Amino acid sequence: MTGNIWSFVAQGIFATAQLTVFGFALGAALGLPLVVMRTASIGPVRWMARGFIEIVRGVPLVVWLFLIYNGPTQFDPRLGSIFTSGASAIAAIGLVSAAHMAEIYRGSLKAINHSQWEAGAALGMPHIDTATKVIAPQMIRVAVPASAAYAIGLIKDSSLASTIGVFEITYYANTAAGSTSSALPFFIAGAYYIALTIPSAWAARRLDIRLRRKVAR
Amino acid sequence: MNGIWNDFMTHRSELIDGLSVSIRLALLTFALGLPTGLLLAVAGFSRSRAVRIIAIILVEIGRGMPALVMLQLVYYGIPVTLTGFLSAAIALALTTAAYTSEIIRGGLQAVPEAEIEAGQALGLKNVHVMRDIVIPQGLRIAIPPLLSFCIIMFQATSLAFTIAVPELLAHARSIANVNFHYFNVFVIAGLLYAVITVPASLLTDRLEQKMSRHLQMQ
Amino acid sequence: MTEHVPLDTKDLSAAVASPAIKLENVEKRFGDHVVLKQVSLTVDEGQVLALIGPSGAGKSTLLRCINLLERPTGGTITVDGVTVQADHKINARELAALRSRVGMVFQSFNLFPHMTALRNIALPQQRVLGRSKGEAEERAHTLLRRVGLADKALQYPGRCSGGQQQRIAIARALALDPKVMLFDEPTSALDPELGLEVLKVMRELADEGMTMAIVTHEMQFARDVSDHLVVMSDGGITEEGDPQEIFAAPQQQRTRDFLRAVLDRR
Repeated sequence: MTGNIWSFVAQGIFATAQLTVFGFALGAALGLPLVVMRTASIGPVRWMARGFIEIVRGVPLVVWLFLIYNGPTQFDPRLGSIFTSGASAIAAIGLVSAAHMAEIYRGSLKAINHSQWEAGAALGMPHIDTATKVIAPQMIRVAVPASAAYAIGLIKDSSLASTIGVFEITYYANTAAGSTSSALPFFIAGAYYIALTIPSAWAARRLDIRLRRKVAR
Repeated sequence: MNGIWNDFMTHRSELIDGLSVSIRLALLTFALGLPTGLLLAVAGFSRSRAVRIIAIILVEIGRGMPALVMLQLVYYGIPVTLTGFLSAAIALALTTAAYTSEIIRGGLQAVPEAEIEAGQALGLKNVHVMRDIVIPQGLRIAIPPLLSFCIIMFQATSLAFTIAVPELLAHARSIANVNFHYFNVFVIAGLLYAVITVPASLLTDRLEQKMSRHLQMQ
Repeated sequence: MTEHVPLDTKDLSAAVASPAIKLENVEKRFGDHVVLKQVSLTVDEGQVLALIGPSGAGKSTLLRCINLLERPTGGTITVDGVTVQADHKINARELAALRSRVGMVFQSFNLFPHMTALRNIALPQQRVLGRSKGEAEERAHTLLRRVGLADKALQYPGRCSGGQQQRIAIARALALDPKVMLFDEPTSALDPELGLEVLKVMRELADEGMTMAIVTHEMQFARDVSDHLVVMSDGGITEEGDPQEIFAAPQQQRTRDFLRAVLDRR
């Protein structure tokens, strides 16, 4: 019987992976314009970006999930077909990730040696070129450890998608627990999550070591 | 906008009740989890290899399990029937202990090696080096990240609705399931969480800046 | 607990039977890399030893072997009558007792930043020597006066200049009434003027008869204050003897090269 539970819960692994990967990709991408706004020289732009980031990070992910999944149906029940479980989950994860990634990028920018900007300016490079060719590549390299740690955290956050009906690991564990009324499926789910995080952490560390050499601190 | 305000005024007592349950759950979680985290951190420095290994395993499990799964595990797993509130507190406390032990360990390790050497050169015993030099400074360093983590755990209390704890999100869902004002109600819930987390974050940031300035003076 | 009686050392050093510090064939290797190659050295009571030489010569490592912050991989160390063999297991209590008799001053001061100067100096006395708080603080005040920082007792290290911090560090080491004082490049991290304050305190200590071993780049100080000069390079002693003689007429080519490089930079 136990063997069955292992394979039953394992059905959710693919969805967990998809949620994590797409959610993170969305967040990593959206985080870029967000950090540009957050570090802009124009005050109001900066404040709006900061307010946005603070609120997105200050509201629990599960609330965003329900807001995106159920919220639109208040205005038009047909919107439910657009805001499906999967899409809503990825959107919510992407939204919260964007705010976190923007902060990670901001921290990375601070860590890059200030004189890199000055060197670019002294060489007569236009600001946008210095930004994209000199600063951005270094920023991304510096951001790798924190981003990787965050992405690995997302593997666990994706479990929240079970509450809006996404067929990922926790959802299957819940289903199995319902029918057997034991806690074993949750041990199994936990084991899968731990198994997913460990190799990812190892890979992230290898990546960080390789990239570390090319940054001017 | 009008609708949101109306919904809030109509259901405000229920929602505020839920918020207070969330806060109480968070506080109980901290009361149980932080001391346990400190214990685990100290166990990580134990001279006994067995103790160290057990501590590491507990921490990795506590950090590797999603809080949602931990909640279900404690609720359905413990043979004694506990209330949802207590189960939630235990589950979240276990998660808290695992994460905070790492934060505290990081703080202790951030104390400069040179000071430990100076203490040893003076002939101070390891116990005294720990008690007088490492722990006072290490804990101080660990405070901002610990506070940040507490804010995250407060948000995690929102997951307790899955085990029938009448906290804020549980109330929000039950209200929305009746009046179908999903958007309004969840916006209100979100804002109620934010009203606590955002100022707390800003205060923690300011504290962190003050502390790093203090450390840089050396 | 014996009072440390200052001796008029320059006359008595020849008559003292057992040296304060004796290093015999001390070797220190890290894997394949040998940092100290069978070094033997003696420091008599009341003597001031200066260790000079190029970076990487092993001077600091040798100094740190004396209070066992580095455990030698070969040879014997004898400090204040206590002998430690390289492979001999020394228990924590013996180690702490030995270290309380050897004071050390570090290049980066290493004061405890979360304590006032007073507590920096008083706490080790309470924990290591078991003195009462009152006794320890009184001694701390005395020592602060001696290093010229009587008004800094309640200051935190972060608010003191480098020279002041180093003098507090010296007071902290002296508070345990050590038989020997070790100085590991005490002024290397200081601006010249701040360094002068520290060298003055060290000079006074030497005049009072403290046994001292100093790793330094301050050549003038080494020549004028030390009784015995040791020049090291590549993990071994190149030359040793009277500082005035060696500076005036170095016997070894390596010593000549080193002194020329160092003195030319002025």
